[in-house]
Amino acid sequence: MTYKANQRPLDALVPVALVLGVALVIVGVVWTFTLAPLVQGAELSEPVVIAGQQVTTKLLLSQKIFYLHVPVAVSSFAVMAFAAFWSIRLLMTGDRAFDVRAKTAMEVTLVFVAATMISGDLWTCFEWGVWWVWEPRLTTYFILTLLVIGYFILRNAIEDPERRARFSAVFCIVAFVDAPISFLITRLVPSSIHPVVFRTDSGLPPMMLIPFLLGLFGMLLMAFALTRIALAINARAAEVEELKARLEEQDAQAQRAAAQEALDRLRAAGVRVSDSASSAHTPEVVGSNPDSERSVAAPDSPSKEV
Amino acid sequence: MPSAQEAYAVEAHGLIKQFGSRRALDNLELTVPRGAFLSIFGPNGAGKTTLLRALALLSRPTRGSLRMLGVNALEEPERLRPRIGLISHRSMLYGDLSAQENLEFFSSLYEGKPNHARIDELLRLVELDHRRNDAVRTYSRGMQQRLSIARSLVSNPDLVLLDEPYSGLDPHAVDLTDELLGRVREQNPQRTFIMVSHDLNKGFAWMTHALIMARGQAVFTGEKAGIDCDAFRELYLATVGLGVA
Amino acid sequence: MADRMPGNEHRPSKFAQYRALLAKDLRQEIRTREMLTSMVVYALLVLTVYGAALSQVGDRVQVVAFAGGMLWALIVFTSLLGLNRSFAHETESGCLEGILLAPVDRSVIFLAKATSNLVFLTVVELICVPLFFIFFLSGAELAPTTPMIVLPLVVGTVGVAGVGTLLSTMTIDTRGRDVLLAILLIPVIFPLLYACVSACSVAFVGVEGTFGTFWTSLAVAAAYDVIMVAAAWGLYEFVVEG
Repeated sequence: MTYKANQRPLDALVPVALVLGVALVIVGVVWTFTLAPLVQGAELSEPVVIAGQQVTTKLLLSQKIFYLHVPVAVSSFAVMAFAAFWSIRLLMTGDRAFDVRAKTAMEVTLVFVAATMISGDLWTCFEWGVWWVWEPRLTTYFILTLLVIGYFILRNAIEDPERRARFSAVFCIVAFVDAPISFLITRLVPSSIHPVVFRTDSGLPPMMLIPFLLGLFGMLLMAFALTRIALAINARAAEVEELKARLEEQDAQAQRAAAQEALDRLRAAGVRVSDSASSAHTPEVVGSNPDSERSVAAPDSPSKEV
Repeated sequence: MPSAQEAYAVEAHGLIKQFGSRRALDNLELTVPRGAFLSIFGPNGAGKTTLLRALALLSRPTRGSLRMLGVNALEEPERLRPRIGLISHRSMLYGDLSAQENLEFFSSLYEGKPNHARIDELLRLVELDHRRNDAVRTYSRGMQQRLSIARSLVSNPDLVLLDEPYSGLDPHAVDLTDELLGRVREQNPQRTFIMVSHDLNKGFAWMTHALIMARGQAVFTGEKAGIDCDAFRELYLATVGLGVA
Repeated sequence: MADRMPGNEHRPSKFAQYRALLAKDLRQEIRTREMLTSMVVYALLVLTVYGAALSQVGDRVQVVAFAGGMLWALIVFTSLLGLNRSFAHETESGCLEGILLAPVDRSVIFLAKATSNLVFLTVVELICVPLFFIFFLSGAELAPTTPMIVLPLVVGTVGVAGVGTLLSTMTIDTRGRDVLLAILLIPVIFPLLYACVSACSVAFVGVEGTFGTFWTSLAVAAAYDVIMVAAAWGLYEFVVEG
């Protein structure tokens, strides 16, 4: 958990992690389609008709989804776990730096989840000849996408940055708790129409396990690298904002100095106000009085006192 | 009887409330003795309402220390809540419930069950006894404000905060509210009042202490006894002008 | 003079506060019937749309197969409407602030609001579910297990009320709150919806040997309720502070 929290030394690892991750994923995918056996692992619960086609053994090729989708699932969920972790930290500390981090992690999650959903949908299209199937994995990703999109819509709908940070943190945690439940439910409660495609409970033969692990490890490295890069970008964006603010502040400095000076003069005048009520006053403060206040008559004796 | 450390209703030191990059309260220092009536003046955006919300324990200051009625308000806000009442320009009343039901509801939030003796007393105090069973929606703005004052007093608070209590009232209702506040003050000399108002005359008439704010800072604090009327007014107008400029 | 000492340490019980908050919501609704009326009318309109949508389906038996789904679509849309209105009275004249001024635990406010929402949703369901049967299932041969839909209805409504209370509190002060609540609520309650539709469908169809699915669905729905309502309860203090 802490390896993302401490900043600097890890940034050096980012390019390495990215290259290594991409390489591992490529090797894993190639392995999947060349060396990994087709048999076992996947079996239909029963022959079914999808979009007018009798589907039984043909589906076995789609088991290859497993090598790519499970790693992406694990990675996107790992990134989202960090978003939730930072959201909790935000609620605990109120430090808005965690808000930026949580938001960044959610952005990366959105990329991963959306990419997976699209690729998964392409698979359904190629394998089953239909554009969409309410199959556990796809459904979960769909819901996850909606949750992440909802997170950003919520952020956009709240003006006050402090409230926005708090509310989006709350929603991020709710979404993080919700996602695994939706996966669990779509798996545990099979829809009567669609087959259970994936059975991954038994031990995998090495030829399948190795590419899976390669893919998983590579994908996690990629997720790590992407998150770090996004964090750096957002940190820099925040820095730019801060510099802009500082520039503006310098512009406003003169104005502020004048205001402060006016405040000081007012204070000095204030001291005199309470000095002695009888001595004649020539308050040196000048200010343009708003029209509404012009009409205020001098308060009469404090007759309201009780 | 207040103990020695309860001599002050409010002791705030270095109070800061940060909204993003904007400081609504900037190192504010404030002490209000018990039994005082503090009027807070200042231009829009000076931080008056922010200060009042912090004192009402509705928002937490970003930094600084705040002791109220001898209790650390940042550490034990729950102990303080029954002792603080807030009257704002929003009535905080349920329009579809009657006056009686509204007070019963708020009373049971404080005491677990409605304190009927107290509710009767308050309804008589605000002179709404005869309409206690009518829905609040049917009340005039002035009557709603009087009921709102009764609501803020259900827990018999030691500190009453008033946020623009006169806004939206017609002259007659203003007079009635004034008279009512006078009676509320008389009831308990130890009770402290803190009022935010745009109305210099009203604020000045009531106050025993004054605070003029601008940009989240205190421009002036002092007791009324030592204040020169005209100079004070001059200062007030200059400060308000600063906010507009 | 004051009738109690300054610094009274008497703290009211949480249950008494919960009861006061709940009684206030119920009394207000009984008086105005705003939320219930609009929800029931809205549900009737959804049923009317169903009527048009199913007008070309001649066979009632076919309706039975997806009655569970239709019923839940009705409940979700009606709940959205009600949840959006449940805070209308609290924000109208700053009443929520008045409650927050009192020494009330934030989780008590959540529980009271969730309970009143649950009560209102239940009342609406008591009206709409029979109507649904009359409009779309009268004459159809209903399986003897049909009454068992009550179980998923109860479990599902609890979850919708709990999660909905948290999310509607978050959206009351936002731009375009009506749409925003739907955007947040529907994906979050999706698992619950899925499980409840599955359980209801099994009960409607009533085929021997499918009741394993019924109980599994119900169990996951109940687990969802426990986890999500606990999360909402714990997180509530962060959405009501100023």
